[in-house]
Amino acid sequence: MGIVVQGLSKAFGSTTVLKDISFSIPKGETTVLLGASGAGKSTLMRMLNLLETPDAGTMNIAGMNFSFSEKTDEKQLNKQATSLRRKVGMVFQQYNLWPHMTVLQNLIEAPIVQGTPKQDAITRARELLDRVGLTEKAEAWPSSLSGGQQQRVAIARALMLSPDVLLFDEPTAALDPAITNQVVEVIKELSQSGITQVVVTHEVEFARKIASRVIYLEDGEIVEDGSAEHFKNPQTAEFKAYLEH
Amino acid sequence: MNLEAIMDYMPQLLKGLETTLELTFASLFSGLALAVVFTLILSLRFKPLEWLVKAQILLFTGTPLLVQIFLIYYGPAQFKGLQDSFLWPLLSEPWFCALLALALNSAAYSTQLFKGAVDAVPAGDWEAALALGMNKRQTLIRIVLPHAFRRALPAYGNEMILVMKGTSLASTITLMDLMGYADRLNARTYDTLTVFTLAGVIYLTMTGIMTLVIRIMERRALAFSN
Repeated sequence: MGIVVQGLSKAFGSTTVLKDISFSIPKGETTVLLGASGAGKSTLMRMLNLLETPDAGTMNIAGMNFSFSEKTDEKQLNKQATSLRRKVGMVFQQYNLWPHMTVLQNLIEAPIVQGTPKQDAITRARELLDRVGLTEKAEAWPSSLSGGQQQRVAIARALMLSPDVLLFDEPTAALDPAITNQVVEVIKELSQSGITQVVVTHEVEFARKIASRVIYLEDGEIVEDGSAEHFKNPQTAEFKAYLEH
Repeated sequence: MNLEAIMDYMPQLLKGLETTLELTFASLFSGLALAVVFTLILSLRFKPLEWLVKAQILLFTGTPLLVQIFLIYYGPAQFKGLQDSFLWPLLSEPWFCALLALALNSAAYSTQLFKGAVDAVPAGDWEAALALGMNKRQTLIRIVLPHAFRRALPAYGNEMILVMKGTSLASTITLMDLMGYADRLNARTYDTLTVFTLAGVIYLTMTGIMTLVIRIMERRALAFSN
């Protein structure tokens, strides 16, 4: 139950952002989407939990099938998107923690809205905070935490729903290089647990540390797609140049 | 202005204090409840209702409170149908008319405050909630509104004080609030300076107390941002 997409396209007005994107990711892999800014990698990842709607193509993710065309019924899609997002978690560049809620409240909010009893949610939240090394911070306000700590809270929050797939949108772009390793550790640990991860980044070093697969994009098209071996032996001149720059 | 007069007037003025406080808190409470509903309607863009709320805001922020009080108190009497209706016992009651005018006025201004605060909530708050499988309505009610209300509290504190001072206009439709008693006392004694200075001091004291309470609420509600 991995991810299979076929023929995904997206244009904003007259600008084509993604052209006929197809790939498949087996379950449990940690895939890095690499590319220069403007290559379309963030848009592509936001399609995987339907924060962006593709103009065309099909998508199979977390056991749900989607097919997009001009006739896609927006209301129907919104409903499906809501259930999809409970299986496909997301971590943002700017963490996007809710600032007026404590760390614990940030974690338990979505599960409670979706019907989890409060006590169960709290128990699970404390387990996850242990796992990301923030046991002591349950009652803290997000603004009192460092960037690395906030990002780990955001990861724990996404894990509260036990997603099949976890998406990371430039998770280290706002972090000190030294702090980046905290996120690397968490992603590596998660990859042991069998969860499928997709990570957008433009930092090659970070990508090398976490990737089991890599997809390299340029101008909205996939240029290179393969195992982490491709970091050592790039198959295309473009990817080789990107790795060396 | 001598001490004897002050001691004489003060108890007479304070007789109106209860009405002033009741009217203030009843108006604030009803106005707040309406403003929350109005903010929801505007934020979720419920089409026909959205236009009604916008029209309400335009009318009640665009005309003086005194005009609104007069229209609500004297207006319905012009319509035979209303005089015969079950609403008449309420609409012929100055206390209720003042409450209605103040509540609608406060609701209009508060809705503007709250809607502004909702719009100012960072897009990241929305996106995080949607990405966690919450729908738009859940996100608005559980995440965005609580955040927005906290942010709007300092501005809403000013609105609370404006409503309290606005209740003084209710004396123009025969309501015996603090201002009503001051008017009556002035008409009897012609000691205008003393009477209205005392009334002013009482209003000022209430403003002071409310400001203090609002500051404490703000400190709690905005603790997260320090």
